[in-house]
Amino acid sequence: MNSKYKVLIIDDHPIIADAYKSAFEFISLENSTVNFEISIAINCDEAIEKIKEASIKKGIDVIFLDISLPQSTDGEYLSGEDLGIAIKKLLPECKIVVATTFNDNYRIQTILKNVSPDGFLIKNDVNKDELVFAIKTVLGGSPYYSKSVLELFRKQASIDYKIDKIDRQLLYEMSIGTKMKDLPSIIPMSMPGLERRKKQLKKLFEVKDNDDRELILKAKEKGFI
Amino acid sequence: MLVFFVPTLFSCEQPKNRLESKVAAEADSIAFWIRESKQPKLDLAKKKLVLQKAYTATQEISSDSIKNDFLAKIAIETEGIDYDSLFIKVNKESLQLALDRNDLYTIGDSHWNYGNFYTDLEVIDSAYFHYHKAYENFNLVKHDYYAANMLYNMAFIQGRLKDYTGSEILIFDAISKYERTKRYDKLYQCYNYLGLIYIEIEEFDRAIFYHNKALDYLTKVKSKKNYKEGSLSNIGLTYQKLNNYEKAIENFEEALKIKDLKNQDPIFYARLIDNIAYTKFLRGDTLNIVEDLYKSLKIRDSLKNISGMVICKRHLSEFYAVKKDTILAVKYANEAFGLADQLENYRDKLETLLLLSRVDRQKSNKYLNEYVRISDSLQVEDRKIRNKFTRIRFETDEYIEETEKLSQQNILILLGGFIVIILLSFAYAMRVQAAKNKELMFDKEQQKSNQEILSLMIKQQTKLEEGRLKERHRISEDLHDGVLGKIFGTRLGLGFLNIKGDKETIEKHKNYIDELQIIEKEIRTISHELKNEILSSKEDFSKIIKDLIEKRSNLESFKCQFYCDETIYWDAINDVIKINLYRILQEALQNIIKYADASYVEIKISLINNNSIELLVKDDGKGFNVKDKRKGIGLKNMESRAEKIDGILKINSLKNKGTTIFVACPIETENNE
Repeated sequence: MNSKYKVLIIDDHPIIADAYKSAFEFISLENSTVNFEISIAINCDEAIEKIKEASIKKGIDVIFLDISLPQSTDGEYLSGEDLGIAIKKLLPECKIVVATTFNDNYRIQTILKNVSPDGFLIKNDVNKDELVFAIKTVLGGSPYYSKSVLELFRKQASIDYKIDKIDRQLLYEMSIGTKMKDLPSIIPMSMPGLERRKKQLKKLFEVKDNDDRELILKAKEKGFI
Repeated sequence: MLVFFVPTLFSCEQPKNRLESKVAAEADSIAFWIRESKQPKLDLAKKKLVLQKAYTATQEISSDSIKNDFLAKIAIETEGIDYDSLFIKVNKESLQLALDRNDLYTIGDSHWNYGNFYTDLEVIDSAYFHYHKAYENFNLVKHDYYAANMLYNMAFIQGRLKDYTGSEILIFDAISKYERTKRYDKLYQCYNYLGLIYIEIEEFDRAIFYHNKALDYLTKVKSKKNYKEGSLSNIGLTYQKLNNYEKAIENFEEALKIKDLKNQDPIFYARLIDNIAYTKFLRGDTLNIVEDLYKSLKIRDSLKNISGMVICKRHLSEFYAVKKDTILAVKYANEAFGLADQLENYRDKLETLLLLSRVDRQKSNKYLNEYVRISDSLQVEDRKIRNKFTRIRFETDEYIEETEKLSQQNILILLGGFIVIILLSFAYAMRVQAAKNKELMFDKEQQKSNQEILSLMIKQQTKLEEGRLKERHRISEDLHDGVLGKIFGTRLGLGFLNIKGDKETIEKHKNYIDELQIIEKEIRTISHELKNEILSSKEDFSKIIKDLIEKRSNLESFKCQFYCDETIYWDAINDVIKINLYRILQEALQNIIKYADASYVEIKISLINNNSIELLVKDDGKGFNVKDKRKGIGLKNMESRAEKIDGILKINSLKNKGTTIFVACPIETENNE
């Protein structure tokens, strides 16, 4: 099995991109039949250019995607998440491995929902061996989720809350300290509506005392943020 | 030629019981001596001796008032017995002492004594002066009776000088005073005197009217003496003047009806007989007239009643003149003139001169000249004295006027002062009011600026908090995205480095990489905590209230139940409402701590109909009287705060049943989605 994979690494830290590259090289060194053609993009502009180019010509097999990236100059792509959605559209065959430092549940969930990546690595979970294993697994056609992501799945499976997107977003915004009065400009809802939702969430999480902090802690514990 | 029944001047009366019994033995002996001197049996020399003793004893008395009292009494007695040398000494001393003590009553008394003294000496201007002084003083102490006595005495003196109008005025003054004191005997004398005055000015009808009035008053007098007979005699004389001889005789004879008059008052008896005889003579009778006239003359002669003798002899002269017995007529007339001259009675002298000019035709001119001379000199003399009296009175009038002027001035000054004071106090009140208004305005402004400062502070606080949050956020993000990523990259890079060396080195290499992963984890935790910390600093208004309540209830040991409606979205509520509610609650809690001595406090904030907020503070403390007008500044503050947010404040309180404070205020609401 002599195969050659086209790989695109999107990460604004050259050092990380270099590390990923090392990992691929490590695999091809281990197994000489596997070769990688690796290119690197360090921002959204570069990345989308390469993705578009690839979608016309030869295509890309694997993309390592970082989420926190400097946004594109035209403002269309704010983060790796937007790039992921674009990749899904332009390169449907391409395997996406999201590698991010985010480990909060809300972001992970939205990324899972929007990008539906083949691999999801939380950077802190990963070391050399795991990275190599992840690449091998994804190349082998199976999805790979690192430790934190798997934990989240487990938590979510154990409870049966009907929490929709807006609820999640509300909880998330509250958790990062966004003021209630600024919320209607972020979440497309009126203030009393949001208040009502918050009240319902408190009821749901069995939070007393009108204490927002308690609510956030509970939601975090349950893995919603 | 008339002989009137003329009452005498009123003399001092003994003041009654002005001395209490608690006087020393010395005083007792003085009183005894004074009593002794009044004994009618005692002869004059003895009386003088006793009074002299009494006077010497008074010098030992230390109390001025007691001494003055005794001196005044001694003065009265000495004057009564004409003991002039002692009287002058005593009365002078008494007056001086009274002046020193400013005892107006005794001053008047002393002047009265002087008046009597000078009347006796016929120094009538001095007498008038002293009566006037006495009158002033009695008037000042409002002793109407004595003041009236003085007026009467003054009128009497003026009447003697033929100043009948002045005399009449004084008598009427005296009458009004006697009326007030209901002294009917004195009223009788006044009207009798008025009757005499009217005879003198030849208004006989009025004279009879006044004499009758005098008789009316006499019916109310107990001790009538010979007053009635005197009046009848006077009325008879008046009728005689009116040529109504029948009536005149009728009155005279009625007066004669007193059986014992011949012995009791022979002079009066003689006068009546003379009067009847003369009236009959005037009527044209001749029978028994000479006999009666001689009878009268004989009685008068035996009693040395010279003035009466003058009149008798004049009547005889007239009688003989009519009988054409010129020698006898001239003889009696001359005798009468001689007696009148002896008496120095100018009136009688004048009348007799007139008679002489009629009966002694040859010397008629000489007599008439003499008449004119005496009458002129008399008139001049009279006028002089009258002027003196006027001056005396005028000086007093002037003094009174002066005093009135002064008192008017005083009143003006007082009034002016009063107005000035009123104006000043008014101005002061205005100023105070203005200051108060200013203060109120200032207070209001201060409150307003306080509120502004407060909301500014809150805003500032939130801004600061926001800034702090942002900063934390940024650090957290930097750590997370930047540092963490770089370490991660470095760690992986190190992992893929093909380390050559012994097993131990490779192992160490691996350990370091693991260590890096642990560091990454720590940084991540720090980053998260930086974000999580944010939550705790975000506080709700209800939380602020809760903090306040907790702080207060810890300060004082009362249990506190707090309930706050969770549906209230505080961020949407105006800061002013929140601040004022907070302050009202603060004030209420302050009051509970300060006064109520409560053990349980319930605080409830609820949302009503989504458009108003109600705050209820209920305690089980001592309570207070709500109706008490004196509201503390705290309650007033609460009220004004409630007003400021268009709210209502209700305070219910019962003694020992606790207090409930209720505030309701409207809030602006946004439409629900």
